[in-house]
Amino acid sequence: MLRKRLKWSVLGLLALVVGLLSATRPGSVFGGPTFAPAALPNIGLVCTTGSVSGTQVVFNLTTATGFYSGPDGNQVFMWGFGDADSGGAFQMPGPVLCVHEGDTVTINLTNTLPDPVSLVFPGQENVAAAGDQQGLFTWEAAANTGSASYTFTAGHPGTFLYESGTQPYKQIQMGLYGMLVVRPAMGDNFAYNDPDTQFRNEFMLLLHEIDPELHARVERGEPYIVSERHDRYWTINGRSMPDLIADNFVDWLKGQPYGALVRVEAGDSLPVLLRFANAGWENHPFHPHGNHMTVIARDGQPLPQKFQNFTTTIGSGQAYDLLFRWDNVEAWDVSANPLPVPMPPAGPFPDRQNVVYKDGVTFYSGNPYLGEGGATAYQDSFPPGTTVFNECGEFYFPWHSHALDEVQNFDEGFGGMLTLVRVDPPGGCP
Amino acid sequence: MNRKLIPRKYSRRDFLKWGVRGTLGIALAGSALSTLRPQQAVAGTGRPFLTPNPGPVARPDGQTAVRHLRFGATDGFLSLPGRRVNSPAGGVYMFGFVLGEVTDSIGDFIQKYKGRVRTPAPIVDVTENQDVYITLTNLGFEQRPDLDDSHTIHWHGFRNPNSVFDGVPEVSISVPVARDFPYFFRPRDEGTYMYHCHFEDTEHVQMGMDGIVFVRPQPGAGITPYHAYADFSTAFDREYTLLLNEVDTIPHDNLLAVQGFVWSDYKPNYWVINGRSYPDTLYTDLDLANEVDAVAAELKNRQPVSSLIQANPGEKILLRMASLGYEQHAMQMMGIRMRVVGQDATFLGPLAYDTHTIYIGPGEARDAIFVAPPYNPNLPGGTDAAGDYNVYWFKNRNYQRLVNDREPGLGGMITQVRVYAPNPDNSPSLPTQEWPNQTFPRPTV
Repeated sequence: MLRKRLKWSVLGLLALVVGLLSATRPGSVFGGPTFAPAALPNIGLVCTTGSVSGTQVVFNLTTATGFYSGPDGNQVFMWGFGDADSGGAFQMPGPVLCVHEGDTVTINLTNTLPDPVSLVFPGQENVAAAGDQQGLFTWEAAANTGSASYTFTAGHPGTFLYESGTQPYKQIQMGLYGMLVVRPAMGDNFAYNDPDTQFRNEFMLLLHEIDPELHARVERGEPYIVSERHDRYWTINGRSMPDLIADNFVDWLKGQPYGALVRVEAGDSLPVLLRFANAGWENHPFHPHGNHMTVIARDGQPLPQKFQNFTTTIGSGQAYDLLFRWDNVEAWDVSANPLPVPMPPAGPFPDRQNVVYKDGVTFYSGNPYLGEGGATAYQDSFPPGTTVFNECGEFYFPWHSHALDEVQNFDEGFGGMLTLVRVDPPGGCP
Repeated sequence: MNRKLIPRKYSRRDFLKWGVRGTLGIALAGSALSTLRPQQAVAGTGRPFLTPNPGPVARPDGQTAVRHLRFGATDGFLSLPGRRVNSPAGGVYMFGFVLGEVTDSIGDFIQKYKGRVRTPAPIVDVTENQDVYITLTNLGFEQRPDLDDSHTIHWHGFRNPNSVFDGVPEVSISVPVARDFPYFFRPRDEGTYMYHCHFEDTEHVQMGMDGIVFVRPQPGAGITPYHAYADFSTAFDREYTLLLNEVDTIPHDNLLAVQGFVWSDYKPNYWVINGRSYPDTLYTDLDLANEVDAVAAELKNRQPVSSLIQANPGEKILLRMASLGYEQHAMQMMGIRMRVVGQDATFLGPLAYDTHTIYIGPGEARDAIFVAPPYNPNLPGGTDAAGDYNVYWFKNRNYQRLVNDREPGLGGMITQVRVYAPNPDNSPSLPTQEWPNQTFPRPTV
């Protein structure tokens, strides 16, 4: 067999992604009308729901230290928020806090870090705060053992950040940030109180940057000189490509529970919702391949006029809600509507004698037709040693920051702030 | 992290080159390589080395015309102020695309164009619903014969119904040295896009493998090729593609010297429009054709696409802007109001807006139309071969990007809009444009 789909090698984790996905039919375990995860979803937004009593929602967060594990093997010291209700282990980003429009939300924060820590909620109004001491922006939990509490009414639906309000130039960089999702009264499968914002599934894409040297200084207790910041890693949901296309909660990324692979079905009657937020300091021009995005909201405010684009520059601290769908507009079919490209005399298009599968690894099925090729049809025509991560002829397109210096893991390309969208044939993989 | 500049005296590359050339020399028994390479056919005409879009032509089957294009991927050198090719500093090493003949064999194509890259990549001018075939041939690198990088074409922003034509090597295929691959596109949505190689994208895009592609709306019902979108509010008289890029010369120099680069160290020192940095942005097609000075002679076969904007008073000028640098740019028009009618190949409709400064991020596109003001002899201006003109400036508002590395004075991402005095009989002095970015007077071939 030339095709070694589950070969456990340097890129073996990629294979495992596909293997895990194959056990999952799209739409069956994530998203949908209720957001309480009955089982751990493999991909897509993972909500933390807190303790709900009527319209009162209580979250208990704790600070913790841990590590960013990079695809290049580097480990970077991080601070993070953990969910104290489920053990409070370090994670980055923090738990995704999901509430409903009109809920009274209380977040209790326990601190374990050597700095005082607080929480701010950009986009929320009238946030009541109590804590050990008053900081610059809000009340803080004192260093090491302090606590603080914040209460607000989630006034309107949308996608928001929550983050540290104490020394943010240090603490947000260190990882003290997360996403707050406020669901509309119209239903959990709508982004806003607008029938045109209904979605099939939803995905979080939370952007951040990391300067490993500054983090090492914090770890060593040395002065943190913010003006010397030089980013080397760029993350979505706390992971970098290719780690970020691994499933949620894979056990080799302990402190980075959330994946960023996006999955759609060609021609689905509903789009998917992409909840973008930028917890970093730089603006990131995010570019989807395959189709335009529909911009429906910015900073938790629905736009009076939706529009389409092929790059959304997500400013520092901004949030965007985008809808994405993919339609097989040309309906190419190997017999009924073949591609009008020259067919080599022998073998299918493309002529594999004359193309390269980069580094001997590909997500391409070997067949240009959606739903063709993949596991069975063309496996013998790949060059010897080619590893193919394709199940049933589904398409993959990259989505990435088009500031291409950010598509790196330090100096290794096709990494960093880049994820994939998987486009399944209608009906999904057999 | 130190950014190490590799001295150009390094000879690892030269050894490689000499080795390969020696082999070639034996193989070709001393045939004069240079004489086998004609000047590119359009050199000197000012035409941005792409045949003008013939527009939709009715076919018997009712479909519109088919475009067949041949692209070659290779290397060469860029001429920038402070980095002239014929200077001790030398030009800036580039990768890029050249336009070849559809009928050329791979061998002939390599003979003609290997090592003769143009910057930016050819302007691709197509029409909605027109079938577009682009055969990409990897010509190899003349300066780096050891580097067997593949290449692809990624049409950035295209609603792609196939991953194989999206040009991302990790999720489809890429084209090895001395091989062809046919890309196929059927553009369904008019507007301004861009394209670039996606193989080792961070490196290949910065090295210059990028250009503008735009789609004219399907003509009919009053819509002509002189509309940016299928909407009468987007009518124009003259059009210019403006591709914004930065150049960090260190990775370019390192590649030439067979050295690596840490891409998270990216820090540009040149800022260019259509591959030209001010004052090179002011050269006209005629200046290049006549090789009015040593700079024009260098630009002629390296950076043939004009960055100068010419207009008759009252004309509607369409700026098709795209950015494939890695920084965000605020481009300011001084003294003329622009109307942004399109963004990312999407007609803005009610979201169209008037502005003097366009903020554009990497991988974004804008279509802006302005009306050239009347000629006023009392306003600042000058005289060139096309006549007397008023001058307006179109510049990056970030003054740090209005420099050429360590050269003194103004440089970088800035050009002029020249509005010409009408003829004595009040007729416009500039003739109709025959292709995008064409400047006047037209050089005689």
